[in-house]
Parts: sequence; C-alpha cells; structure tokens
Amino acid sequence: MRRLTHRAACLALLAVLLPPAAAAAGETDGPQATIERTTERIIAVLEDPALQGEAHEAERRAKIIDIVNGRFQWPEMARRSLGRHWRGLSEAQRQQFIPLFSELIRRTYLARVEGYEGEEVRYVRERVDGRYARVHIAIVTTKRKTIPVVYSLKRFDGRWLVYDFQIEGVRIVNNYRRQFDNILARGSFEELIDKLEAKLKKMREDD
Amino acid sequence: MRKWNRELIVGVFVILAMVCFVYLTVRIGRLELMGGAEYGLEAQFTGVGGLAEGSPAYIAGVRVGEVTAIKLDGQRATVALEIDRGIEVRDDAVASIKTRGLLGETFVAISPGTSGTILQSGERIRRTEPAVDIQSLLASYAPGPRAATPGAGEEYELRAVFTNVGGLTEGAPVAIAGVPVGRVKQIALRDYQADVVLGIAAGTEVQEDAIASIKSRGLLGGGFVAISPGASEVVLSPGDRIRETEPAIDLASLIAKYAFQTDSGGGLD
Repeated sequence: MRRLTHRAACLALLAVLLPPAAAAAGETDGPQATIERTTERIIAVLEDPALQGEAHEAERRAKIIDIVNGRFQWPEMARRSLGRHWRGLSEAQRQQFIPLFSELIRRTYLARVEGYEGEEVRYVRERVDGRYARVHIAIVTTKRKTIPVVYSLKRFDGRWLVYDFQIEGVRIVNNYRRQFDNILARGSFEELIDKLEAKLKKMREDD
Repeated sequence: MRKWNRELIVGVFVILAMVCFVYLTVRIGRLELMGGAEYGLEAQFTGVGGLAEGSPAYIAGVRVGEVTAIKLDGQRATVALEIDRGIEVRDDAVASIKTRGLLGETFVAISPGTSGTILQSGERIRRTEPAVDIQSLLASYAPGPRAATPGAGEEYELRAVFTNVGGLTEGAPVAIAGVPVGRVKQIALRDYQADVVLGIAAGTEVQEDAIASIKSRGLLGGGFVAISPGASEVVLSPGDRIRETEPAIDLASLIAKYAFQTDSGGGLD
C-alpha cells in the first residue's frame, strides 16, 4: 500500500512540474494548463531515448529537478509545513530550513518518479478562487487503479506555483506539519535540523 | 511452670501473627493512615486523542492514577493527573498517550524515569508523547475528542468546504490538538461540495493557512473536524473560510483498492 501511494506521489509530483519550451512564453496559462505542461515535460524527460539507463541517471535527475524547482514554491511549502513554529524562527533559521525541506520532498518523491511505467494522467477539473487554485487529476495505473491527486496552487508574480498537494485525500503539508510539530514540541529547532540532515545523509547514501 | 511457658509462647506468636496480618492488610489495601491518597502532576501534549477526564494513568501496566482535567493552553493540551501517593515520578519521566487497539480505552502511560529528582505535587512532567495519529491513511480513524463540545459561551463562525465529509453530522466537535474548541453548526451541499459552518469558541485563533481535516473516532464512531494551526500571522475573522481542507477518507474502499488489488472504481475525489 505504501509503495503504491509513493508511486502515486511521484506521479503526482511528476504531473505537477512543467514549464517547457512552449511554456517559456506560456505563463499566461491557467492552473490546469500549467500542471499539464509540467507533467508532459517530465514524461518527455523520462521517455527520452537519449537519457535512458544508469549512465544518464544523473543527467536525467538534474533535468527533472530543474523542472520541479520551476514549479514548486518551496518557501511557501516549508512555511506551511512548520505551521505555528515558523513564527518563532529567526530569518536565518528559516533560510536554513527551506533548502533542507525542499531536498527532503524532492528525494522522497522524485527518486520514485523514475518508476514511471506509462501511467495515464487524467485532468478532472480546476477551481480558481482569486490568487488560489485547485487542480484535480486522476492517475490511472497500469492495473487500472485510479488515484486521485489534488494540487494547491497560488499565483506569484503572475505564475501559478504549487504549495501543497493531496493524494487520496492526505495533504503533504499537513502530514509534515504533524511530524515537525511532534519534534519541535519536545526538542529544539537545532534538533529538527539535525534530524533532517541525518535523514538526508542517509537518503543520499542510499541513492 | 513449663506449661505456663508454652502458653506464653503461643500467645506471643498469635499477637505477632495479628500484627503482621494488619500490616499486610494496610499495605495491600493501600490504606493511607496519614495525608491524602494522591498528589497532582501535569503534562502538556500536542494532541490528546480520545483522552478524557477519568482516563487512567499506568506505570508498567499498573494503574497508578487518573486524569482529572484537560484544558487547551495556547495550542497544546494541558492534562492534570492525580497519582497515588508513594508512587515516585522523576523529572526525566516520559508521559505518553496510548490507546488499546483501535477502539479501546485511551490512557496515559508514564515511564517513571531513572535519574534526576522526584517530582513534587503540582510539578510538570516535561517530556511527553502525544496520541499517535496513525499517519496518513489511518489518520482519519484515530480516536477523536470525546468530551462534549462547548455549547454555551461565546462563539464565532468559520466556513470550510470539503470534497467529502464522510460521517460528519451537525453538532460534531471541532478540535485543536484533540481538545474541543467548537462544533459543526451546519452542513450544506453547494456545487457538489460540502459547505460546513463551524462555531468556534471566542478567543480561539485560527490562522488563514490552518488546515481543517475530517476525521473519524474509530471504525464506527462519528466524524469530527480537526484543525492544525498554521504559520501565518493573519488570523481568520468571523465569517471567513478555512481555505485548506482534507476530506474524510473512505478507509474501506482504500483497503479494498490497495490490499486486495481490486479497483473499487473509486471516485476521482
């Protein structure tokens, strides 16, 4: 179950990321079009014959990370994930936290994007509410399971960027908010940073 | 002379036996001859789950006291405990909130600690572990607030829109860190989504990036709304909408979908 959810998560991430060549001038895209383009771009990288195999793994990853970084609003996501604890942090602590957090999300979900096996992505609907939007998609696996994913986007300088997403009704931000809250309720901010760094170190080694 | 000696010995022996018997009775029955039978400690948790007044406290599985009060303190729950006198809890003790099985009783488990000084009446157990919200998918089935929701008193209204409210009903509790802070006043269908009006106790602040989730109190229990506090400086005003929400999760169909490898034909939402 966990594995499948992760697979869904990757695809979700996958689906979210993209301003491709066409999108360079395409920032007038609405939220759903934004998600569609991002998804297409990532799938294009994964299916690119010139980037197949272990030899091109680093290059492939770098390209995907580039696409992802262009579509996620990391500081917003990090702030929301820390919840009430964010307000008590100094600017320096916040700047220390954001890159660790974004790397954690990328490593947790992106490494698995590479398990893509031709799953179908269906765009269900979008809802726009001022600066905010929700894009509902459904990932249909090769075993015909339907996994609902909802992206939360916010407009920053005219661009729609993702600050949260929901898989099977579970929000990524709330999931981390609970975990960070538990750590910070008992320990200091430094302990949280130590834990994140230890976790990332392990993830980098496992790669 | 000899006979008298024997009677004396038997008499002394009987008296000794009686003293032992009374002593044991007092010890076993925990009769306290002096002072109160309990003393108070408190502990703060980020979530108390289904803990209620009267819930037991255990050390090594042995009942040593009970919960006498739970109140919301800022955004945490402060739990007051009454511990039997004679039970020593040290300042490195850890208090955890646990539940026996999915539907069992919720209680406080104390691991009493080894070093440090003994906590005195009124002192606080600093290290705590909140009720485990069996993450992710199971999250929606964690025990919820059991206490009655504040019906009287000042309250203000907030709205939240959910794609699915599951078994939520009007009157269901709204909780922060497991402590009730309000109730569901109204549920209406609007644009195929559930538009929910929440009555929140005056003085309870909800930030604009707070997340409202629909949870269930066990497999058969009713639903409730859990609010996780946000990072924003902007606090919602009466009538505002909580933008970020998580719908109720249909665990049965999820299990069917993932565990039994069948497609429930699940909705897209």
